[in-house]
Amino acid sequence: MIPNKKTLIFAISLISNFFYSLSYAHQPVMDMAPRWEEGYGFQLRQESFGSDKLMNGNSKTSNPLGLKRYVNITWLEGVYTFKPSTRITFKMPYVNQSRTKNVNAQAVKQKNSGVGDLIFGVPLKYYRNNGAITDNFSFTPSIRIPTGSSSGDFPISDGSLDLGLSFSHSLETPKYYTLVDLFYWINNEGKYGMHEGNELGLDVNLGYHPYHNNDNNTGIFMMLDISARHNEKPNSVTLTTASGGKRIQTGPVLMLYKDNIMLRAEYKFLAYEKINAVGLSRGNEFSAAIGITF
Amino acid sequence: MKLLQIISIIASIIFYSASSYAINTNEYNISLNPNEVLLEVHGIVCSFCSFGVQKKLSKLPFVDLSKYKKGSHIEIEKQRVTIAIKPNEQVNIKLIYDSIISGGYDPKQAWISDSSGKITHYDGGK
Repeated sequence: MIPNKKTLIFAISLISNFFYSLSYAHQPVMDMAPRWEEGYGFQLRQESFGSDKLMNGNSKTSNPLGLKRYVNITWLEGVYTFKPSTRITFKMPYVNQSRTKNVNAQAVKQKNSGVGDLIFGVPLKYYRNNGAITDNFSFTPSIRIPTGSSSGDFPISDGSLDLGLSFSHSLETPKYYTLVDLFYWINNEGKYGMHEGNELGLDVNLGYHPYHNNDNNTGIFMMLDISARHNEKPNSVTLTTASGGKRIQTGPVLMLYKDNIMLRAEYKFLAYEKINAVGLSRGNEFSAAIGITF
Repeated sequence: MKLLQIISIIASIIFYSASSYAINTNEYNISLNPNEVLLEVHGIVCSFCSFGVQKKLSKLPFVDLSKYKKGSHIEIEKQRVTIAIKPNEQVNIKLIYDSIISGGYDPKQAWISDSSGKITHYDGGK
């Protein structure tokens, strides 16, 4: 699996920006908690995206068949902290998806729902505390287990066992927060010859903490999230939502918290998108979450 | 990639702003009630930090849970932790340090006020 020249340039560009940002960065909510030994937590997160905008490369093109795709994913996420430097996490999605697809020049409606692929991660962290600044470097190997169904004309999973690796740095002060996370997923070939292609991503979060009350431990946290993705083109027999291409999304995140409970809402719009050949835009994205730690 | 460069610049500004938050212990104006411990704890800057440390401290047998929130009060802007101690109980500063370290933070120094209000400085480092 040798990346082509364009992929390589994109990767080098992301990596150079990552290391440039590394010296100045900070962190997000499930990343910062629970840091304490034997702490654990859960987060329920609803994510929605999709559109009826047909793209040819990075330009909008006409869509006479009314093609569209909408995906709703409910994530149950959990974390256990053995000690501040060692955690284990899981993410279990429940997917509800529908689309209108071009099949032999006919608009065909397809939909599917069910449990998706289970992801396990082992974040290994190196923390530094210096006065009112705390930061950490994180190295996270992950595995995606094909628990989702691969059958039907609009499968939830391609049925492959995938491997991921992430490097991140986050930094936080009482007022500010930044996170830079660079990751890569190796998507192996799954059932029926489906192969979604590898994914390279970079997430950057810039946060501000306008209000905190020490007496009741409540507050408000705001962030700007910027996500860049490069997805290799899936092969022709892949029937999942994977479409391949490049995109940069950005948008605001609002978080309210009290002690160990956190509410989060996030909206991301597409700042840039280029689809491989002709395909549907990912569309804007909304997610809302509630998290609790113990 | 202009967007990523802009992000890097914004992150740089945030970092340099954050540097101004480095604690200066000389600015501490120590004022303690009898039977309290005050600690300077590096890295304790967020709500979850407070929750985790309070949770650990509340398990110590000599902490007076009837005062503050589960026996402690945390000021994230100043990295200060104030712990209420039960009257006539002996403070074990090592247990306090161990609790904070297991919470993921670095206690740097402490001031212990006994039942008469006399303050003792403990510079135990980590």
